[in-house]
Amino acid sequence: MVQREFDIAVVGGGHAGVEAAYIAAQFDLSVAIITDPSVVISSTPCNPAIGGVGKGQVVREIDALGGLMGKLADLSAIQCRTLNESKGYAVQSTRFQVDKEAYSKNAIDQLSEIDSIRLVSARVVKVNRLKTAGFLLELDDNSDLQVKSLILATGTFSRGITHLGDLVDSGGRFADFSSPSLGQLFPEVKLKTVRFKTGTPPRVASPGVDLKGAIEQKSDSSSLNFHYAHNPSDRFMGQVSCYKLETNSRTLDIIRDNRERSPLFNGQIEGIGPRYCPSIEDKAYRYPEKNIHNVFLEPEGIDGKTFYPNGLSTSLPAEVQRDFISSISGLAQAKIAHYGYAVEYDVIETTQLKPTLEHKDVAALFFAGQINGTSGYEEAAGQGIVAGINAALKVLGRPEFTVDRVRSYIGVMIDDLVTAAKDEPYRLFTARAENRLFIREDNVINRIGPCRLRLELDLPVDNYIKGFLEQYELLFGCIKSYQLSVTRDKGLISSYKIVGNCDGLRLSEAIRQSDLDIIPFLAGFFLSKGIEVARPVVRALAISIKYEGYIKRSERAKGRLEQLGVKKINWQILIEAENISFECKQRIQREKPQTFLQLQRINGIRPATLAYVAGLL
Amino acid sequence: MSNSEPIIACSTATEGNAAIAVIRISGFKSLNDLSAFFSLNLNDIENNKVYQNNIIDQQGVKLDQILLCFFAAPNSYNGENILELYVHGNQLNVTRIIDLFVNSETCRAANPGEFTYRALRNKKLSLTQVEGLDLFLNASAPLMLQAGLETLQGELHAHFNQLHKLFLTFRSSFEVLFDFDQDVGEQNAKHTVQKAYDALLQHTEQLYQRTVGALSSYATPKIVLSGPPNAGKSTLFNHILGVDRSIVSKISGTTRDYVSEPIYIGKTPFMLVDTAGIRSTSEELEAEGITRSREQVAGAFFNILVVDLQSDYLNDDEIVNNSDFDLFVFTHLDRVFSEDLDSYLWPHSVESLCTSLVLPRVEYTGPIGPVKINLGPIGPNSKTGSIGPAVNQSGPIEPEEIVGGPIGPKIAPLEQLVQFINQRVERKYQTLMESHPILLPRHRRSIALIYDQLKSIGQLLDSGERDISIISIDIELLASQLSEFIGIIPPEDLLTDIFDNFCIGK
Repeated sequence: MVQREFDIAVVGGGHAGVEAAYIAAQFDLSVAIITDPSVVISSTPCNPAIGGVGKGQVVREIDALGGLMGKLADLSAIQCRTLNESKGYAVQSTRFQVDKEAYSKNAIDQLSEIDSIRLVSARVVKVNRLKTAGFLLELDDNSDLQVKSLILATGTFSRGITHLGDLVDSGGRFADFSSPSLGQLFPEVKLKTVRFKTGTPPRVASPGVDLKGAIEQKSDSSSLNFHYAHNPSDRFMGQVSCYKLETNSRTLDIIRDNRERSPLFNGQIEGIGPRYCPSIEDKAYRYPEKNIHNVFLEPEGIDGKTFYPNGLSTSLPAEVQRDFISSISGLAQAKIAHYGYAVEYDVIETTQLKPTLEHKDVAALFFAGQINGTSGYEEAAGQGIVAGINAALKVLGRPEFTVDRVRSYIGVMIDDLVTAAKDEPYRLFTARAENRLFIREDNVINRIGPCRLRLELDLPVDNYIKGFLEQYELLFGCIKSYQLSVTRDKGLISSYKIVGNCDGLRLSEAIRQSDLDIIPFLAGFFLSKGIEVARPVVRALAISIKYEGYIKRSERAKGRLEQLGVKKINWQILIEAENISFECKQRIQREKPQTFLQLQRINGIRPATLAYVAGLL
Repeated sequence: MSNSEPIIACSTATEGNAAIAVIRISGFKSLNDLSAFFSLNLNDIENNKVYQNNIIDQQGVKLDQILLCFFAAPNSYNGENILELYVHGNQLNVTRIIDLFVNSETCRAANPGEFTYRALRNKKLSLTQVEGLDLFLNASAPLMLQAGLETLQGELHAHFNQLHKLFLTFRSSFEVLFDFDQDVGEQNAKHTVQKAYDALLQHTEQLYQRTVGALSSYATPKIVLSGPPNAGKSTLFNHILGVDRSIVSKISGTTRDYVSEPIYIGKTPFMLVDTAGIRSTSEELEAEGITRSREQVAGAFFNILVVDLQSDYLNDDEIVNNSDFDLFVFTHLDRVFSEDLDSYLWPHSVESLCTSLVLPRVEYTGPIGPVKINLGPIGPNSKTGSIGPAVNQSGPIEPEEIVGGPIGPKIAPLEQLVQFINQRVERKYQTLMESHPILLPRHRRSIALIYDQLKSIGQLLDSGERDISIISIDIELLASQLSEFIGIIPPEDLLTDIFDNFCIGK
């Protein structure tokens, strides 16, 4: 029997696993990524897009921590957009449509450049805890692998079952294999699991798709790349468009007529699906009066062979899928390349984890990604990097690493995961953050850079962060103190409309004026002074100054409510309390809130209950 | 006040002797803890039933023969175990019994409102209900009794819960704009926000309407007589009171400071206020009196302007228009020839007078002489009392309706004027009660604040402010105000404020 030793093993080569391995290797540790030979590294089995509202911030946070996702997304981008562009900088997010094959290939290329990462094509059969420390992994190729830290990032494969109409098959993805249950993998460790489900739409082959009536969404050349070292507007692949279509009453009628054949609604699927990414069946049955739903046709690759029809996730039988797809104007003649399906899988109860994503009772065992009940590539990668860093720090005997929820979406997500059990797949969005005015894309280096520097790795990204922060601090002070002068700054003042008397007006005050295009304005200012400033620094400066006052106001607005929000509550006591209504108790039991804020956010909790609980604090 | 040790207090009036006094003990763990003070066994008694028993002191001496009733937690007034003792209402006896429990360290003497505080803590009453109870127990006027009882019974609480619910709907619809408008479509999302906003605004407006127009001092509503000097205010004051209280003379400026006397009209206690005549003066003392007059007018429940028809006062638009007079009483009609009456009334642009009129006016000749009453909308031949439509008439009343043509010879005695005034006051009070005003100052303040905040959010939404994260700050502020208002944020200082007003034993 062959036995090999690694510092860290990562089980699963998806977005969480790859990110974990990539960062761990930066600590000069040996890392094995163990994946089934049939599974593609960094595949995008669902929507071929990276980023989105809240998620774009996560990709930039990963990048600032020295991660890989931003780089891969830039290299593979075929359509770029800035979401919420007109709604203010705080909620703007970047979203790149990627070429699926290129994304995966780029990932393999990046990983193979790193000597200390080894790809192991095998399945893990059993995990034994070693008496000393670490784990012994038994693989299906009859080899053993001894590691000090172990990261499980097996996605939807744990006891995965796919549903396509009444076609039920075991597998983490369609026509794929399924991993054994965690209980089988870890006979010695008791892991609490829950059953979740998610789904994906049918893919449409492009021949036969008629785009004449569709609304075209072109790639936006002004969207900014994710990776710090890339020129913000460089594109590495050709750019294509997405198209917006609509469902109609016939589409919805077909779906409604086949309600009994939907595994989601006839009881075949027991797992709980994501409320925030509903299947078309969900939409059809929950909103019987609504027949028009958006469908975004997103190309899956630069070759344009297939489209991902975003909004049509389904597990209905194949012929029903064919019927409702062809009912959509523009898709009448379209062929289906792959059918949509739903997958049910085991996830662990994340309240068993520490904020480092290490298991509370099993040292050096980490969990990341969809196995933790999240949905989305970015969420997975965000956990992967935190788990990877901590797995490495564990091996090195260094202190734990966490990111705060007040400064990052990664922090928000992990805090949400480890403090309250989830009963549906967890997706990030801006409402989950208390201070979204601060957790923006533009200031990611300010927010996350210092966290990265704490790792003391001294790689190119660290130099970039140091340079950025240095320049930022210096110029921030200048902008605060500089007063415009009608004579000295004549050119600048005449090119931008500044309200009121400009003479003596502080530059920071001018930036706060609402209708000023602040980024070109500030760039123009620096240019007029002959100071050369990198674009991302100008952007971060301008937006930070604009929001400074609002952030303070927002903190004041929350005031005592916020102070109360962070207080811990004991939900077990609440469900025993005599003074809380049965209905509220049910909801508390389901959501298991750990803080007052979480309790407040539960739908249907009565003010009287909140007042009662607040009174106990 | 936050602990939960057993407390005791007399819950009935503690001054003077009475047939019965009720002593309440709350927060004990089991009846066994109290059994030493009763001659008959407490173990067998059932909840909510009345038993006869004897109180005995530590030496076994019988102090009183009493009735008692046990209310078991959590189904009691405040959610704790409560034992009520119905003892003989001699104050000495009451004190002796309470001392027995306190000195033996079985119970501690309760602080004011402590029983109710525990009811709040145990969610038996909401904060709003506690405030209603406070209002009810300390009511000195029917309006307070009514508002207090309704609040106690949860009428406001239900409205506030609804407000909270509508707010949450609004806020979550707003969040959709950030995170999900791709899924639902931007127009759809905006439409949903507007609908949710409108529903919230409408509910808030309804609550707000119940806070405006209510009296500033609902405990003792004031009827204020004001007007220029020597118009006959004091004469009218004495007549309404039925005694010579204010000094009456022909010298203008006789009343230097306001004089007030409590009177009952119907079953409601009012304060009748006679003020110093308002005119410009250089005399310091008189000036001070005039300042006070104005304050009285501003804080009045019912304002009566008493004015000499020939007075320049009526030409002073500022005075006439800026005050919400409920009634005009014209005096010294005897100094005017009746055929000239119209020419006196009309030039004062009755229309402009009318804008500040809430009720029809009364013309009155006097000072003491015969009274001529013109009942406005009804016309000259009507009698007092049978008054027509809409008391709360807003907007100007048509001029001809008020003066109603030539003033006939119909003469009514002064008593009839007094009666008329009384009816008007009573009617206004009745109307006020029917509008279910929100009386508690904290509620009024909060509702006004929330209403303002909501309107400013509405302005931002309408203005097309595109940076919606900025609007969301105002929504957070609203969330904070709302939470404090309905008691989600425990109002720390407020708790002591409220319970300070409570009596011991409640």
